[in-house]
Amino acid sequence: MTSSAGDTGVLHLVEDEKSLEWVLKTGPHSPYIALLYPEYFTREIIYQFRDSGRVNGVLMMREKGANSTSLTSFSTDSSCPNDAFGIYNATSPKRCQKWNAPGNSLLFENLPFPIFFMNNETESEKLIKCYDSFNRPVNGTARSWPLCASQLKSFMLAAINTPTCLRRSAVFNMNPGAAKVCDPLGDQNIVASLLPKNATQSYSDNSIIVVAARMDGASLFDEISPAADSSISGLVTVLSIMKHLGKVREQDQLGSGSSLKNVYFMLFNGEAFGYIGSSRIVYDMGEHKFPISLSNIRYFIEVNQAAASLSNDSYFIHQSELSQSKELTDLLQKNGQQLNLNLTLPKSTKLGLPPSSLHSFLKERADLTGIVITNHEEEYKNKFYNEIFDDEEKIGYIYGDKSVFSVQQNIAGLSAALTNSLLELLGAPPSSHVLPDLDTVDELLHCYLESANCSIFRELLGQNQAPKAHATYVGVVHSPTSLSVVTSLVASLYVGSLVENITVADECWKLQKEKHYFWMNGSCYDTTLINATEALSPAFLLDNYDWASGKYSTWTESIWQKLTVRIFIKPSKLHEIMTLSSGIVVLVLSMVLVRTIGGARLLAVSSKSDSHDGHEWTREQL
Amino acid sequence: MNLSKQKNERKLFLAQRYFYAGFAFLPFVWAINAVWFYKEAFMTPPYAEQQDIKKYVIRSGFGAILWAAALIAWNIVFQTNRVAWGETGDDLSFVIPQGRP
Repeated sequence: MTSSAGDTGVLHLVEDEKSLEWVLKTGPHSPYIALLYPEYFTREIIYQFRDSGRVNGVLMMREKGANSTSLTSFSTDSSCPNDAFGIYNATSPKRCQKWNAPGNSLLFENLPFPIFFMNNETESEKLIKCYDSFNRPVNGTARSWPLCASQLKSFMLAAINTPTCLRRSAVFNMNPGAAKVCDPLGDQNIVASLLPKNATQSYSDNSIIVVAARMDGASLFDEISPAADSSISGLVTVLSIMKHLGKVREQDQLGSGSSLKNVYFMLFNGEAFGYIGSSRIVYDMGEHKFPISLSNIRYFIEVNQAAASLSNDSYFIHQSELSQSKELTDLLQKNGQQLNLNLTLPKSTKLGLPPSSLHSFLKERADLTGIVITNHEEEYKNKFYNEIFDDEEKIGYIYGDKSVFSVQQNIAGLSAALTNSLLELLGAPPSSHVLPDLDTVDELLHCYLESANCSIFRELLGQNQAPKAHATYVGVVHSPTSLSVVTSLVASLYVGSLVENITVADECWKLQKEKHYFWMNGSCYDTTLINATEALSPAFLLDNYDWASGKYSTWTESIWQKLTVRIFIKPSKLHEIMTLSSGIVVLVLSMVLVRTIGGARLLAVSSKSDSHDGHEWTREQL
Repeated sequence: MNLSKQKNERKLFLAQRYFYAGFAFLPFVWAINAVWFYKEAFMTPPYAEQQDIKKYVIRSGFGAILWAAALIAWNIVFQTNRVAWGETGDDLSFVIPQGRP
């Protein structure tokens, strides 16, 4: 386990077989801190580090070189993400389809040493320089002390597993909450209804369409989880659909007479860790704590990884198995065709449903008609799923690039095709159909991937926003992330209705509690239709939940102390002992010396002689 | 208290009192009894009460050693099995270590 005082080791750059051997077997200065580039951060190598007992920590740097195209894949999630929480049980052949082939599952391994990522290029250069000056072996022989060393501190208070850490947190302590060692993962889901619910009548069966996306990502390293393709692409698609439909509704063009009465938008949080958000919403539906129930849903449409940028890319419609709707898929394909967007069905029928929030719904209602729209047919196109390198660069997004095959064009096209299909399903006239809204999609992608200091977020939250993207990691419950807070405001802006007769901010805020009025973007919005629901796994709500059942996600995050990395020049052990010993010798010697010389007792004697203040100091020997 | 300056009856009384006191789950009292009266019981020239004092010293010493063995045995069993005992192990612990099982 990592120590609360930090783990120290001599730095060594692992860049080839020889340096790997050095750290594992031949180097004479163990324990080491392994310094490496992402290509060497593989399951085999990390396991070798763990098993050798000679590695006290790992420091990973960004890819070498300015162009950074050498890294072809990097994912620490499982190769079958969330397979234990999906609809396929352990014996089903569709259970583990290697959707995320590069996944090495390191995210879920118990590793006994701290691992840090050097995001800053200048810091990495300092490390390499220190290594070259002091540590790099010359002609295969080791350098001598002093050597460049590093201390990594990432102490986690919890141990073993969730039931244990929860039990230990509940131990009586005079100071309430002082014994806490872990917190359940969770945040908030955002649920928005397109139309107000009629207070008297409830929805009949199969009368509602749900449009869903996930908004969280994950990674091994704190604060860096861009999730560009993993989740932001789908989130932006659904936000754009919300804007389109909100506008059509404001223009009274939605129409009526269809059997489908409403659209519910659901943005789930915590999906990366066992479908926390979606499983909670399904549970709430079962407990009648949610405005609609599972039987009300006619179609469940989810947009998963949606970042496509090449000319021959298509989107694929994966369907739930029991209940498929040719009417729906034909409609989507037709609307896609009209916008020059290729929406196809996967060729193979042996593939199961890819990991998606739809699984949580199908678990409780197997005959739900659900589809998941992704940019991949079989294996993920995204080779950096749920990790730090799944960023705007890897999906080929360039802010302001409005060319025909850009990411923003594809996402805007997909969003428009879906919107038009939804409008047809709702019975709206063809004149209400929308065109791709490139500007909004471009700006949203910029806000979520590059900088929160963008026009949309500034209008919602104020002028001083951080110039970097919000982290997508779900975090611990009761602590809403900036991402979910800003996304709920964006949803309110798009689906909320404008209150026209209020033009002053104060008047709007006065009615906030009573009527859910919000002052945003220079106007007053009625946000009754947009709600945040708690995204906490039902495992933490049920009494006597069987932790071994695996029914719900049981992830918790340990309480941690400040994470620090230090590098310094370290002398040999012998040198350190010599320094300590000589210090002790000096101490003892000085005590002996003082005793031998004899303590001088100073006595003030009053005298009439030369001292100006009338006192004369004399010495008296003991 | 300087034991050698006490009257013999007083010494016997103390040794006896300490011996009985140790039965109240106080092995340290027995240990002190055995050590304090050792010289009086075995090394000073014999006197009337010495036989009884010897008896109390031996019994106290024996009791203290028995307690020490039991406590050491329990300590070893607990330290090696605390983690394996799961919830029971945590219930028996006053301070549960952080960051490790």
